[in-house]
Amino acid sequence: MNTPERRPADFDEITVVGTGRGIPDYLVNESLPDHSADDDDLMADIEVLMAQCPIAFNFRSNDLAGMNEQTKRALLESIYDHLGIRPLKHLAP
Amino acid sequence: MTLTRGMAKTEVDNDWWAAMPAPKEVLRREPDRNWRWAELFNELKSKKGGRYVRGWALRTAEDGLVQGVMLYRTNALSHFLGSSGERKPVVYVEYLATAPWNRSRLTKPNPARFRDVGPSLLRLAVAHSHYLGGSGLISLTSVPLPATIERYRQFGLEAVGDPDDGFVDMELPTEVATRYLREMGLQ
Repeated sequence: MNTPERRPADFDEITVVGTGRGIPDYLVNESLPDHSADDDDLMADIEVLMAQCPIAFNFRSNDLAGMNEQTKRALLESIYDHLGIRPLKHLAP
Repeated sequence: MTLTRGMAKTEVDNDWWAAMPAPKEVLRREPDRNWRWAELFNELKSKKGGRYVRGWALRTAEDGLVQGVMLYRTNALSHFLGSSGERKPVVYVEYLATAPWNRSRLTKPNPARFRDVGPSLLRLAVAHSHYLGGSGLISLTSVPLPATIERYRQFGLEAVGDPDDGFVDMELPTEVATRYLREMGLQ
């Protein structure tokens, strides 16, 4: 298992999953609760998680130049927060 | 956000490959080049157990583009038997793909636009498994290509079972799932 700091360079190359075979029948349980009644709440929870968890879901852009300034600043702020650092210009003289 | 059939058709099937400047023979080598996500979605939803199928899309706010999509089912069980002889529920990833412009092999010599989209989607599946009481466990089936298996292994997935059809079933061990849940602040 690779920690975020030690992920190899090609870690992000998980680009396609799917063979079409599916999971073996003996590993399917049709009596599990499908939670469809809770879907809205559950999906909302996960979307909140996605918004709040920069390590997990703020995938990295290689195209900072193409972003608008507001998005770029927000992204950099979240990176600084995650790393616990501040750019030099924020330091008091 | 939740993936809809309409989004799959218009924003993935229609838009993803048309936007790629790479030569056709290069694009043709991509395993999902001919996938039609709207049809995959329909097929999984209409088959037995379709009510357990969920779809996700990661869309960037600044340009509104879908950067990656995933379909999984929540009625799967672990390959491993627990101490009481029961199998824990897992989220089984049926299909996942990142947008072609997020694949460095297709954008060379330029970098991929976004990195970590695929692993982000897998971590989302880990989170959903946790919310459903599945301890963050996920599984998937890999093609038997060493490089592909190695990438899943780098995420923490381990090969399980004894493949007799050329495919390799892989599952996230409990301790790895727990580490991801901690990273996400869920444990």
